[in-house]
Amino acid sequence: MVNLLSAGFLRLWRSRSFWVCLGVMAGVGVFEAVSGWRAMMDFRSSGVADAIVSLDSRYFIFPFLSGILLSPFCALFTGAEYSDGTIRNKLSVGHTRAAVYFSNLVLCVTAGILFCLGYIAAVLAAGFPLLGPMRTPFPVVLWYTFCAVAMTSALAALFTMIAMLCQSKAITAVICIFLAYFLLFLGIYLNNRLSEPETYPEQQYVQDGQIVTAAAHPNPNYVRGGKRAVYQFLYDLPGCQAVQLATTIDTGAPPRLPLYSLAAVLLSTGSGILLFRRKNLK
Amino acid sequence: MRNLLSANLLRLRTSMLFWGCLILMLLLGAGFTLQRYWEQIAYAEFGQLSYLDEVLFRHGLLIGIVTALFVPMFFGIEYSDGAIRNKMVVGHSRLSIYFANLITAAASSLAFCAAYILAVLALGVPLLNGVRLTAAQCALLMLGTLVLSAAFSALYTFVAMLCARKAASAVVCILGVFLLLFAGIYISARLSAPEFLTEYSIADDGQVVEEEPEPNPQYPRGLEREVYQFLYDFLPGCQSIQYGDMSAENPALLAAYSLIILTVSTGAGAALFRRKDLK
Repeated sequence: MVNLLSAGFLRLWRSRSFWVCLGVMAGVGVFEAVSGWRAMMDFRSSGVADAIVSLDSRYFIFPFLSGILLSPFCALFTGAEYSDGTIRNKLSVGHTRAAVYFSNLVLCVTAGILFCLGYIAAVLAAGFPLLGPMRTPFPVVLWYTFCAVAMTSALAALFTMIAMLCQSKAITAVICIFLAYFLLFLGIYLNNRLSEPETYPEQQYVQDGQIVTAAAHPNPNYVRGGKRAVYQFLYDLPGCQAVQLATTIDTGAPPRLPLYSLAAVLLSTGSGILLFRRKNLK
Repeated sequence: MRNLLSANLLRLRTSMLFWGCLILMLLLGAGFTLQRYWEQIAYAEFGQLSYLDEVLFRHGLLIGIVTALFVPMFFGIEYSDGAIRNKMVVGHSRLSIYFANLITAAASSLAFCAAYILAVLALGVPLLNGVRLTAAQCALLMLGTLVLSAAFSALYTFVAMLCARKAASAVVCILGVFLLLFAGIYISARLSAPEFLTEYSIADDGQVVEEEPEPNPQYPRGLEREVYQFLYDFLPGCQSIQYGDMSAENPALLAAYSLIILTVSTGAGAALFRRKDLK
């Protein structure tokens, strides 16, 4: 296992796709900080009093990106083991299938965490001097970061399972990328549905210079009962969590999110190893 | 060239990927139509009506994604199986191979669009209200979306023919189309920002007073707005967003830009493919 990991890390440091993904994460981090600063300058030049774009709004973006970049990385990095025949070599020199699986899982999770850290380092390095310190309390930032890293690890475990069970690198890449986007869009959709108000409250609006009052009425789009429980469960899944994390910055992410991520890691890794042990590697 | 095309079409007919994408577009067309129908029922008490044209041109939004999946996977096999070298060995020129693949890709994307439209018409005509656009507007929008799908096909054929690794070309095409779509969403949000911000206040006598409008600092002006507008009309992902939310004001211009993309990418792709080392 130690030998597999040391060989894997050596390959990781030399992997072009790893450095490209890390570069993209860091680049987006710098871009977000600079675009925030530009927006702040625009506001100030227009004479808007106390125009401030907080570093917080730029910091909390990385969970959206980490899964999307991790999907092609895991597919290409792990898929190369099949296309180059490395997996058979590893097995023929005596490594167990479980050890091969775990070493790839550790590498993908490490890459995912490094992608997150790449963004965090870049956005803080560029954003701190341009936008000032963060306003969210440090423990909340730390908890958010922990939840986001746990979610990224869960996605890494999911992508590793797909990459280890599918021998075609191209098919793996397509499945992983579409899955990452699907989970993200599902999260956006579920957030919209779950945040629908149960009733529309009494509203006052201006019509022809007069204040008009509209009575409260029930919202037909509100999700109720078992359907709401299913939606909430899906919303807690890794991938969808990225949206939930972004919408709970002020209140703090629910403690169940890292537990769901842990459950996703255990389930995907357990089933992945079981299936990989029975897989015909040709 | 004719032999290449007929071989490609034969392969297309037996390709599970092709039929899978075709069925996906059918299901998406049916899904969007039924969604609008259910919304119409749910909001019936508020008098909301759903119209056929709200979903009829939405394939413009989807075709870039589905073709990004299909083209690199379908033509990537030519490299991985060595079919390209075989074609050249039996005497076909590189240009004819490139153009045969381009035509096949464009024909496939048009078939995907047709599947979507068919599903929308089959369900939408009996379930939804009619089309609010004139026949000329409908024809222009339809032409625009079809030329856009051909432009997407040309871009993906460019990538698939120049990148010998199927996985890499699939990653480039799929990530590329999502990047273009997100660029479209971003530019759309910037362009639709209001030029002036108006605030209201309530006077002592209870009357609503409209404050003097102030310029919105987030509203792009001058050259910046022109650049955004050009990119919004030119980039295929931005065109997709315009067709998807039915905000395309000048489909003829968009179609002209799509033709330019098709011509330039095909010209560059064919020129580079002629010099490519196929190993």
